[in-house]
Amino acid sequence: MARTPAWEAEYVEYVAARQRSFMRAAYAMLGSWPAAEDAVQTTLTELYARWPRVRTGHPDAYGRRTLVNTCIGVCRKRKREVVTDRVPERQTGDGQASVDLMDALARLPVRDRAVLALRYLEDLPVREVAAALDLPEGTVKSQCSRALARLEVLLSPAETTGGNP
Amino acid sequence: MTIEQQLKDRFDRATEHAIPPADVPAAIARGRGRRRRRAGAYAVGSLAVLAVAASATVLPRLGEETPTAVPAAQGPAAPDGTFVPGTTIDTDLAAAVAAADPSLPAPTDVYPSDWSRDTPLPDADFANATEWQLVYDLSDRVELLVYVSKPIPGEPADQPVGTVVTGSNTIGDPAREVWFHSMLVAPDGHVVNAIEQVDGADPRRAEQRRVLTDARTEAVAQAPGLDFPDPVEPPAAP
Repeated sequence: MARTPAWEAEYVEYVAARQRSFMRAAYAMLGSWPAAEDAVQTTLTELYARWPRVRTGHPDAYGRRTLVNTCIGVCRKRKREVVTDRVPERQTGDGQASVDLMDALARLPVRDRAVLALRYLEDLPVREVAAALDLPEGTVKSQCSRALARLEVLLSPAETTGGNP
Repeated sequence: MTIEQQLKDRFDRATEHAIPPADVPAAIARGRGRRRRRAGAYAVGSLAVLAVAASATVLPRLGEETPTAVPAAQGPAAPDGTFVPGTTIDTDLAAAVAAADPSLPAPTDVYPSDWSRDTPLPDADFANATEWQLVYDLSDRVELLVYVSKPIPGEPADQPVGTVVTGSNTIGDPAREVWFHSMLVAPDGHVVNAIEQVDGADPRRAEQRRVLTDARTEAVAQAPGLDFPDPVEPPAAP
């Protein structure tokens, strides 16, 4: 005699609207679709468990915070923070550039990847990134700046040479 | 082209093909179990930190993330405010908490469990419960768990009877919550925990985010009437 929560349909609707965004952000942080899927599943489970109390507040911030924490946890469990075993599941039309990007992201600390994923890949304003990462806005700005500078250095050889030989 | 735009364009290309869909039914199934299971697991964690109370013998389950068994019944109150059909234990416990702190909202979940599991008991087995848990949503980042448990046979309480112990600790690795908890061991050995769970790893910020106070969690832990009948057929002691 299972009782279905009245809010469950609302949760399903929310997830349908947000899962693509969560998956992209997780992929940016973890560099692998299977790892991203696992992280998103964990996030959606947590989100369900907390839905009654986050639904009227800031579910996006809670969901993103959970996703980031999950991805950080995944990275900590790995021996290294760089994702060296990443192999894109699908080659894109501009595959080399994409591979270069993911390789460059993988060389950044996971917290840098998180801030870049939310700020630039998901186009979130600083305020929302700060809420998701539970950081002051000024810290988000400085982390973004440093992470972008690091990424630019990592990407610049590919830019100047037209890609890896 | 700025580095920001390069980053965005490249990432869009890397993810332009179909992104794997999430398994929403699986997330719901696990989430239903987790809504109930985590309260038990977390409460055990609190007991570990306090290192007190007879029910601390369930410590082998501390922090354990067991595969989810979806409870026989899930979550919310029926329209009349009851959670578990066939008994008034759920509403009696909720009333006892409300009497101790009338400003609290109604609980979002009340359910039985026992010391052999970190999932809820099926509602129909409530008479065998060795513990009951009440969950209150206090804000989007704060939850109150009231956890009432029977003493485990043969396990002496190592906390003074009748004395409330209050403290706080961070939970998770990496830390993701801060708990503010009060615990009372009653003269008959049953234990009451009132645990305010605040999202976030920083104890100072958690303190600012608290909805309750130590005095209020202590009042709840000492609420008269926070007890329930002894289990008819309890599981073997762990």
